[in-house]
Amino acid sequence: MAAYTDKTFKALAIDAYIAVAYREWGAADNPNVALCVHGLSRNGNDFDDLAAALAPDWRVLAIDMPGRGRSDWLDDKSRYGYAVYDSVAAHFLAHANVDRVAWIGTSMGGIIGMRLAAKAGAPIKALVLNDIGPFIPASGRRDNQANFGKDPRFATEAEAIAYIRETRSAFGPFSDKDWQKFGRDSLRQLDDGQWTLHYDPGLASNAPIVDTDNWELWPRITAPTLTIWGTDSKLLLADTVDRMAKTGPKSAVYAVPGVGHCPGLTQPDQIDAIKNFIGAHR
Amino acid sequence: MAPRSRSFQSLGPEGFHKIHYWEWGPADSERTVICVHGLTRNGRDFDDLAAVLAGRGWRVVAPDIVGRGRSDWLLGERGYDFPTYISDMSQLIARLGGKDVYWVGTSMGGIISQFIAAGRNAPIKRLVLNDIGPFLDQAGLARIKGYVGGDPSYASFDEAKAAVDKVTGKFGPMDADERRRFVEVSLRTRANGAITMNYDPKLAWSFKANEPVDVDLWFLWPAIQCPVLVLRGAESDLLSAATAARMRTEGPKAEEYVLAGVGHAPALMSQGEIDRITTFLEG
Repeated sequence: MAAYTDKTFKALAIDAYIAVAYREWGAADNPNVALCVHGLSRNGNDFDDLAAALAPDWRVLAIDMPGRGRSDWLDDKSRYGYAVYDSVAAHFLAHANVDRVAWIGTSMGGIIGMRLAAKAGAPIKALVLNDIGPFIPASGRRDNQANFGKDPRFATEAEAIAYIRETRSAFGPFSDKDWQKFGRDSLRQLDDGQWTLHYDPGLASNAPIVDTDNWELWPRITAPTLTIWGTDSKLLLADTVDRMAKTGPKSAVYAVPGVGHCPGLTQPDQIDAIKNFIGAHR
Repeated sequence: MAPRSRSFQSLGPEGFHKIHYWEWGPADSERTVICVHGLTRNGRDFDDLAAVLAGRGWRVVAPDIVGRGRSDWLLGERGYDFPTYISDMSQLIARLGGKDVYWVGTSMGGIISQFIAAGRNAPIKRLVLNDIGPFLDQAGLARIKGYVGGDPSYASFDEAKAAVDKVTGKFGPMDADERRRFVEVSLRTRANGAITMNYDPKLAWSFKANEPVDVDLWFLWPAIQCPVLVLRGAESDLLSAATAARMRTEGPKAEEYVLAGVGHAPALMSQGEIDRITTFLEG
């Protein structure tokens, strides 16, 4: 695997500054920069395979959003939400230190990407949405968040990885080796030796889960857009993909058959689809 | 030594807007100081201080706050407020590497920095407040209300200079050449050739909408953890001797440097001011 460096920067989260972690790949002076932003309960390590493949041509920065991975947790859990995520992501865009970036967002990371790309003057030159779009049915969100925030404990890493594999089976397609990595990246070890999930259990809220309708954002997005679609996804439905392809930025679509939410971005064909798309819009 | 003209897109109340900044000295320096100007001023006010600090190995970054200098203007007036400025400056810190920085803030720039420095885990190592503190006297704000946001047009530089001199006469100390440069950076030329002020007159909305009152920001002071130096013009109508005295004894217990014969605000062009700031920042 290519070389990377784990780094941090400070960002303002309403009235406190937090350390935000990210993993950087590729030449530091490469003006072609891709930012990768993960899904709700995930972290930047999900992009390791993609970033390694892009690194010869791109400087790739994969963030851990607040409350995930190596980034600080928020003291006030009620502040986890898009107001803080938009602001942290804007700091991340500034930190990239180039005029415009390619944005690769999985699920929640794609929602943040849509929200920012829809704003005037957004420094985003290409947008990749991994299994996410302007409409998400409540049923899919409920399904995706079934185990979110449960804060489980496991005696061994193997037991914990088995739990991840069972509860996140819609990801993929993954080899056994991919599942081992995906599982390890989902975990942290506590001081008492037990294993638990990497993220702040305070991320989960009691807010009712309803349909998410962000179609108002779609016509305002002018950056060229590629949608990676797991055809079995319960969050990104076929008619949503169809409308994404026909309206607004008229997204290109790369379908991954037999996968749900989300394509894992470890398979060569998925990686090539992203590489070719952002390569055409650098 | 010449500064580099740089900019980035900052997220604000109307989408992203361009924040322009002047960068001096080695970009890879271990020490970065951000210098932020007053209400109607811009980053060029720090040319003299920046040249000295850059010569000593500092990276000096002097932004134009939104609506000033070469930064974008907002479409509406209400975005010109401290939440926008604080967010923009936090994004600027991320732009510059996201590590802790040193700070020099004149007037409004010092208010922004007190908010930032009072935040938990604040990214400011040492803070210079130029003729500003946690309490702003009504008298100074009333004087500013009297001239800000007028959107004048002048036919000649001399005419414009007379107008600027009239409302900034207490800035100093400056010799004739320094005052000429101070006025030059205050102005821009319209497409029709007329000379006007180098800022968006809309930013004065809060002065126009409100009667001036004392502004009490003492709640910020105990939360500021970093060392502070306060420069005070002895004739300042915005920062009183009593406020400065309390700044010396409470919270971060600021050091104080008083400039005789100067009002609001010290221009940071004299050797005495520049030496004092340099010593403090490098202390």
